[in-house]
Amino acid sequence: MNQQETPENQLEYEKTEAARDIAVEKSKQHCYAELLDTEGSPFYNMREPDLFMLAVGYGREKAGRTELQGDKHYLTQRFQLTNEQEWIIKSVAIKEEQSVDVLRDERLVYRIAQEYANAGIKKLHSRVFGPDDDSLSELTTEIVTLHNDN
Amino acid sequence: MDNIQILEIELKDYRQYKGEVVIPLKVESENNINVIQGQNGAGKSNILNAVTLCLYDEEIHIDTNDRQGLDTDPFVNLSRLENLDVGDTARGHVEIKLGREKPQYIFKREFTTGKLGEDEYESDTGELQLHQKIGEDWIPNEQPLTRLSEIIPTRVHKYFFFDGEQLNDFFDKGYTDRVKSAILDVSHIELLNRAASHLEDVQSDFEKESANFEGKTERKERSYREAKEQLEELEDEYSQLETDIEDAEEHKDEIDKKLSDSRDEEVRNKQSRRQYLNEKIDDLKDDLVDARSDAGEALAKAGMVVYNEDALNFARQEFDEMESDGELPPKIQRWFVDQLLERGECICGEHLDGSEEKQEQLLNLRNEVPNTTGETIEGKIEVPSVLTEGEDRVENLIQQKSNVEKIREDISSKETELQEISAFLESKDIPDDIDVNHLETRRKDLESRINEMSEEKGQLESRITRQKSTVNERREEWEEEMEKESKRKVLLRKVEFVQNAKSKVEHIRTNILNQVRQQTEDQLEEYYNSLIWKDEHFDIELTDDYQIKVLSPSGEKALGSLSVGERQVLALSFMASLSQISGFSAPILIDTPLGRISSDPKKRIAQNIPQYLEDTQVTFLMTDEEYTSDVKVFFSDHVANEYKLNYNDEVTEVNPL
Repeated sequence: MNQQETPENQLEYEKTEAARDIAVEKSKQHCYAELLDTEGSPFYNMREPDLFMLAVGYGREKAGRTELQGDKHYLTQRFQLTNEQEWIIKSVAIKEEQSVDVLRDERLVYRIAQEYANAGIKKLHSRVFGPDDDSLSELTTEIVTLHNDN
Repeated sequence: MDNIQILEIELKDYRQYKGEVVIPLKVESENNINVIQGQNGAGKSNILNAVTLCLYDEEIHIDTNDRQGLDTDPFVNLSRLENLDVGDTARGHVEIKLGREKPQYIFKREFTTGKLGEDEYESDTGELQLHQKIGEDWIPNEQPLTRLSEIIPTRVHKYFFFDGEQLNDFFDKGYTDRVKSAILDVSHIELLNRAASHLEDVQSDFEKESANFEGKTERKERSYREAKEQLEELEDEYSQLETDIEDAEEHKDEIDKKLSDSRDEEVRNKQSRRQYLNEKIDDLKDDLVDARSDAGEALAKAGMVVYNEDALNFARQEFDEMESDGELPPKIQRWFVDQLLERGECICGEHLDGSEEKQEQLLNLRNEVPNTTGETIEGKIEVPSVLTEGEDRVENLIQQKSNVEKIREDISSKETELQEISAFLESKDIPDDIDVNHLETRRKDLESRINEMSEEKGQLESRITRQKSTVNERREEWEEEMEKESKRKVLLRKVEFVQNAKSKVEHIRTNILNQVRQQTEDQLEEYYNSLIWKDEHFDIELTDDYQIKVLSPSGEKALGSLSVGERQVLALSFMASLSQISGFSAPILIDTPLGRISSDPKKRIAQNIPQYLEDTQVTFLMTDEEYTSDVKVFFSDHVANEYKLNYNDEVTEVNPL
C-alpha cells in the first residue's frame, strides 16, 4: 500500500508503473470463459477487455471490491484496453481514493479495477446463467434506468 | 486420357438387364462425356447402382418415391426368376473394366437371388474380385479392396458416383455437418487420426505407470485418471446424443415427406407452408444470433460507462476544480524545466553550477510535473468525452435491444402459425390416404424429443468444458507431484514428450483441414461460376464452421433463398470440388444431373458443362427431359458415347444413339 497520511498531497502515492497484464483469479477464469464462449450468453465472442470493463462496473454497482485470492490468470494485456477504457479505470480509482493523485500509483489504479471486476464477474456470471430468462433484456433495462437516474 | 476411366460395364442378369449386357464407355480427352438416356424406370439409376454394388457392395440410389423401394427388388432379373422353382437360386454379376487407354483392372461382383415363395425373394452378394493386367497377363489380385482404395476409396466414392436428384437435399438443414464430414473424407488425415489415437494410448500408459509410486503421487494420478474417465464418459454421452438427434431428425424428415406426398391438397399446402415457415424461422434465428451479438456488445459498451458514471462524473469534477484552482493547464511544463537544467540557469537568472540546492529543487520539480500535468490534462479532455460517448452508447443499446425484440416477435408469430398447422393436421382424418393425424402426432413427439435432446446437448457441452478444465487442473497437480523426485521426472518427461508429439499432430491436422477447406472454397467458386447460367460473378465463402455463403454483387444470398436450380449447381460444384481435391484421378458418374433445373438455365448449364471437369471421364444418366435437343447441341462436340435405354416387359436394352 502506497497510501500515506496526507491525502491532499500527491506525494502520498508512490510513483509506480502498472503491470503488463490484467489479472483475474484463476478460480474465476471459467466465468469469463463461459460468458465469452457459450452461444446463449449475451457476451458470446466478445473481446476479453470489454467483458472485463463491464465486470468492473457491475462489481461497483452490485458487489463491491474483493481482493484477488489464490492463483492468478492473465486475462489480457493492458495495451488491449482502449483509451476510453483506461480512463474509466482511472476514474474509478480517483473516485475510490477521492483524489486525482492516485494516478501516480498505476499499480493501485489497476488493482482497484481488478478487485471490482473480481466480484463483478461472479455476479454477472450468476446473472447470465441464473434463473433469469432473458439476462440481455433485463441488463439492458437496468442500464437504461440507471443512466436516466444518473 | 490421363485419368482412370470406366472402359466398360458388363451386367449379367442385373435388375432390368437380362442376359449379358455390355456398355462400352471409353472416352478421349477432348470427348470426355458419356450420355446414357432413358425414361424414368428404364434403368438409369440401376447403372449407377450396378457400379456402386460391384465396387462397394451397396446401391447408392434408393427411390424414395417408390414405396416398394429399389432395395426391396431382387438383384437378379425378374423374368429369369419367373422360371425358377421355389428354393432355387439364380446368379448374376456386374463387371467393371477400369484403365486409362486400355483395361488395367477388371472388378467383378457376383450376386444371387433365391426364390423363397411366390413373389418372395432373397438376394445376396459375393466378395469383390479383381483381375489386374501385369505385362500381357491378367493376374487375380488377392487384395481387391486395397487396390480399389488406391483408385477410389470407399469414403470418397460418393463424390464420384452420385444421384443429382438427391443432391438437392445436400444443402438442407444440418448441411454444415455434411460439408464438414465431406471435407474430412477428402483430407487424407486418417493416418494422423490413427497417430493421435496411438499417442493418446501411449500417454495414458505412461501416466498409469506413476500409479506404482506410492503416496501422494499415486493419489494425484488416480484423481487425474478419474477426471479423464469422467470426461470420456461425458464425450461418449454427447456423441450418443448427437446420433440420437440425427436419427430423430431423419425420422421427422420421413414423416414430412409422407405428408408432402399426401393426396389431400390442403395437407400438402399446410406442409409446404410449414416448410416455408421453418426455413424463415431458421433464417430469423441466424439473424437473432447476430442481433443478440450486436446487442451484447452494445450492452457491454454502454454498461462499462453507465455503471461507472458516478466515478466518471466525480473525476470530471475533480479535473474541473483543478482547472478552476489554476492547476490546469500546468504553470510549469516538464520541457521547460528540462531547458532550464540544460542551460544551467534558473529562471531567476542564477547559475545552477554553483548551487546544488537549486539544482535539486528543479530536479524534484521536474519529476513531479509529468505525473500531474500530462495525465490530468488528458483526463480533463478524455473523461467528459467518455461521458458524452456514454449517451450515444445507451441510445445504441436501446436500438439494438429493440432489433432483438422485433426478430423474437417475428419468430414467435411464425411459431404460433406452425402450432396452428400442427393442430390442424392432428385433427385431420382422411379416408384412403396416409394417416395424417397419426403422423402429425408422431412428428410432434419427435420434435419435442429433439428439443429436449438439444437442451441436454447444450448442458453437456458446458459440462464437458468444465470437466476439461478439471482434467487440466488435476494433471497440473499430478505433474507438480511428479516433479518432486528425480526418478519420477524421467517418466514425466516421457509423458511431456508424447503430449508434445500429440499436440504437433493435432496442429498438422488442423492446418491440413484448413488448407482443404480453403481449396474447397476456391474450387467451389470456380465450378459454381463456370456452371451457373448467370452473367454476374459470385463469391463463395466456406466459413470456419462449414457454412457456405453465396455472395452476389448485390449482397449475400442465404442458401434457403437459392432457387432449386441454383442449389443443384452449388451441389454439383461442391461434388466436383471434392472429387478434384481428393486427389484421386477417377471417373465421375452422375444420375439425373439436371433433373431439378428448368429449361432455360438447363441450356446455359449444358453450355458450360463440357468445361466441367476436363480430362475426367464424366458419364451422365439423363432423362429425355434433361437431354433435350438444346442440351444435345452443346454436348455434341464433347460426347464420346451416347446410349438410349429401351425398357419393355421388365427388360431394358441398351442401344447406341
